[in-house]
Amino acid sequence: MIQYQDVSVNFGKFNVLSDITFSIQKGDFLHIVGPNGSGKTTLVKLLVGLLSPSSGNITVRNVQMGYLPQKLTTKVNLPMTVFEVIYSGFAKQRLKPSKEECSLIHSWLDIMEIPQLFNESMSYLSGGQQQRVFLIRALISNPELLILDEPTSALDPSFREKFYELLYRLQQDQQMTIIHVTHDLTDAVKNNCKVMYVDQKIKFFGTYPEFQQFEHGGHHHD
Amino acid sequence: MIDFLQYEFIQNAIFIGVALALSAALLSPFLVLNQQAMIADGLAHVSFAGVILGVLLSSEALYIAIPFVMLASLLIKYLSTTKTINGDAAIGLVSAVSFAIGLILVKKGQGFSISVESMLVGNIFTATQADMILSIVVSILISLFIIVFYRKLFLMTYDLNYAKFAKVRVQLLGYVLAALTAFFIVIGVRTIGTLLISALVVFPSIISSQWTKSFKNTLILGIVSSFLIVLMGIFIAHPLEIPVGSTIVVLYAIVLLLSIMIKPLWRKNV
Repeated sequence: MIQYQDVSVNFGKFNVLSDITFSIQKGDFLHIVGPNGSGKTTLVKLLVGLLSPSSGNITVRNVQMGYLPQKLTTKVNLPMTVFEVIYSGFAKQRLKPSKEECSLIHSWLDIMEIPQLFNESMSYLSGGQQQRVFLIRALISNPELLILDEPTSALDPSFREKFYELLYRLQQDQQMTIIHVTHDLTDAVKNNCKVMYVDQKIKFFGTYPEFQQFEHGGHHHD
Repeated sequence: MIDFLQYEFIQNAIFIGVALALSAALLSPFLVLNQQAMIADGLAHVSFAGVILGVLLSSEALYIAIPFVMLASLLIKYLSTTKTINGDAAIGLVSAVSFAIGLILVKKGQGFSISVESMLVGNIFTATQADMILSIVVSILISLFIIVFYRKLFLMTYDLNYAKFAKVRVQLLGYVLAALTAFFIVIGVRTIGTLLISALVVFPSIISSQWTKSFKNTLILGIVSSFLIVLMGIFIAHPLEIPVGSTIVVLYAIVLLLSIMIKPLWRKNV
């Protein structure tokens, strides 16, 4: 589904990523880990088209994508409701949303345990509630490929667990391909997941059990 | 009051006022809430030079001024996309240079018959038939643009990166928005004035966002309040023989001040 071939990214003289080559298949759940400034976010920005590689090729099958950026560049202080933000995640949008679209938004708000916020102003929400709204925006178009860049940073631990359960359900039931950038692998990972450790280059790429051996071999991520 | 409605210049003023109020209120949230409020002010300075150039080169100044200001708006947009110049600086650069050129043209232009003061404050009661037609044309173009691209423009306003991810053609839509703003500003400069036209863009969404939770309602309340304020401005300014543009701006300021003062009391009682 996704293929990176000899991909490098330079910002001026600064080398952010070099010689990145890997591929993932439909239905894979890939966790990307690595220290601060290691190029994890750059790696996914290439995938969603927000950056172009300095050299190399990226091939992505033309499928519906969902994306939760790491640093939300969103201006949450604007006058806009939760509904308006989530609706902007639909692949096709109309001037007047349909009843079906509204009820789909309601059901996602229920799943994310914020059912009362449909008409609430984004600026009144806590950071965690805003994060849940942006997660729904990423999921609302039922993507085949979901890219999450530190999605749980503002979520409380009990909901974090439920959120990962939901992701695994989506992966199993709908064969959703999920790419997940994280600092905290322990919450999220299962044995059948793939893990990539990035620090300018790919230092490790394999299954979670293999990654544990790699870590015991003296490599650590923060 | 009804008596003076029979005068053609009053009817023209009402048509132009309503068309400009609609145009400005439609543009307002997409510029002001996107930290581009000053583009209206900058383009007003550019249109000062554009109109003077138009007067010197053509019998109908707008035919020169409109493309001149539209080009300047595209230049501002282009400069602000470069890595070394941010949006504010781009507006400041282009508007200051244009204004300087305008002043030189006024000084050196032979047979120049418009006073600088009339350019700065404008006069809606001396507007021509061409002003009226162009006001209506610009309001129709802006209405169509906002209606067709509303969802994409909203996404660009609150999350530009996500809009890029969602394959919204942000550059193209940004350029069209800038060009339509330029078109509106040129028409507005002649009637409302160089120094005041930007207020028509800045105030609507600032006032309406005091009262609304949603982006859509901010847009709608901005349109309604602008209609009322612009019409009130025309009706108050004419009998008192004071400039219409200034009256409208003062009315906007009063409504904003009242909104800010009343809002906390209103919230307490809801």
